[in-house]
Amino acid sequence: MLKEIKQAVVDGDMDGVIKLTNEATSQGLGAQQILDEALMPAMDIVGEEYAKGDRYIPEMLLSATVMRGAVAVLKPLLVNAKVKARGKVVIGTVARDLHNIGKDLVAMMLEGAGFEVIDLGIDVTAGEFLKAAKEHSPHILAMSALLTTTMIYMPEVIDAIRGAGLRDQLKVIIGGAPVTQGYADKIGADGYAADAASAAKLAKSLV
Amino acid sequence: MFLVVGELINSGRSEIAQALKERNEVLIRRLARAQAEAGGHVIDLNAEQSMENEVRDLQWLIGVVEDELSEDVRLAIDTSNPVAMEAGLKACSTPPVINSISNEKTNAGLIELAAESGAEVIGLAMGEHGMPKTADDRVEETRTLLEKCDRVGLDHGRLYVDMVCMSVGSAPQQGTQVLQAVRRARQELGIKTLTAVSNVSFGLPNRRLLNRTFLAMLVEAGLDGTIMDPTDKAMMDTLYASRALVGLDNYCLQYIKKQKERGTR
Repeated sequence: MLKEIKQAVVDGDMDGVIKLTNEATSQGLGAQQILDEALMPAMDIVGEEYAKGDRYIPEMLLSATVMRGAVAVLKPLLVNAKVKARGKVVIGTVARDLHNIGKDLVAMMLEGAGFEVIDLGIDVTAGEFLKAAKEHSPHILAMSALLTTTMIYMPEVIDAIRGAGLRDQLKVIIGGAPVTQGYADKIGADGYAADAASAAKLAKSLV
Repeated sequence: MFLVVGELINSGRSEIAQALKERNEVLIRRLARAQAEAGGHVIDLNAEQSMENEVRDLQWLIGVVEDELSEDVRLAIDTSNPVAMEAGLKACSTPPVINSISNEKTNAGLIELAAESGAEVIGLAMGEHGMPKTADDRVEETRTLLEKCDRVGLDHGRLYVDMVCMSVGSAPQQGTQVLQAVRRARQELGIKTLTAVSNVSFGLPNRRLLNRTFLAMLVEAGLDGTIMDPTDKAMMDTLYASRALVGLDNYCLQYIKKQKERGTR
């Protein structure tokens, strides 16, 4: 049953996943187990296939939507069982950068990996990142930039976080086309990931 | 005339960023010539990713490309930095196309520069309220941009408004919204439109197929120009074919000429 649910998410089969998830819960499978052993591994597969170039953006979006459908079925059970998110992530594309696709994919993979994700959108200033960090106390702050002209705003955000005395309370991870591990080291970020699947792995390793 | 702006000399492409660092004149000359010979009317020059060296790199590009091409091929200066734009305008021997102005507050100074120059200006239908999502957003952004142009005396006839194409890979309705915006900008505002077609296919396989199919639809909707790779033969052929099919190519002469050149019958 878990295997079938996993396959339905990978295949982007919404009707199938809803039906199977309902069946699984009525047969007594736990919501947490379905999440951990079917839904999240499905998103891992999808993310890895995307990273390899075997899967395209719309296919990934569909799988994420299907996964959300299954989570919606499980939600009442998860709430009852007081299942906690793996951690909280505040994510956004930095100031003056309007690129959303990569950031959205990372947000999706993080959700798929069990994180609560607060998406600040695009063109997010250092002040806005800081405000969200104060308001949500995330475990991780994730920044994306697609341009060399905008990735320079990443250290500004880190400075703002440090200035507010919050630097030790959260991990900073960054990514985007021009960003490298070297750049992450240079600006004092806690991690860099090259694609959405590795971003989710990185986030898991940091909490 | 349908304006073809060749997009290949852009520092956002790693090949070009490298060429700028190494002053690789051979590559720049080759790309400029290839785009012009393939039917590009305007060669776009972008050194924005050079950051603090943008002005210097842009001046170098202008020198190299002007030297390589005859005067009937024009240049476009592609930057959102008013300082670089001003330096670029000064470095060109004939007034270049200005790429681009928008409603973003950060590049407000560009509109004045554009008003003073005599050449075509590309304006982005975005910035007042961030990125446009719907056709309505694009038309409203264009209205705002036109008001700003009126304030500085920039003639609408020189303007091509870019309807900001986004990927159907992440937002499937974007294709339709751009097509509607092109139609409406023409009918309601009487202005010329242009777009960077290749954004439509980001994240999808066989991007060139999507790009040229969308171009055919855009031509039918009344698009006046595109920022594209003119060395993509199938794309250029689709452009000529589309224009012939909607009666924009008198007696289909341009289409016929191109097919003869290619030896296709």
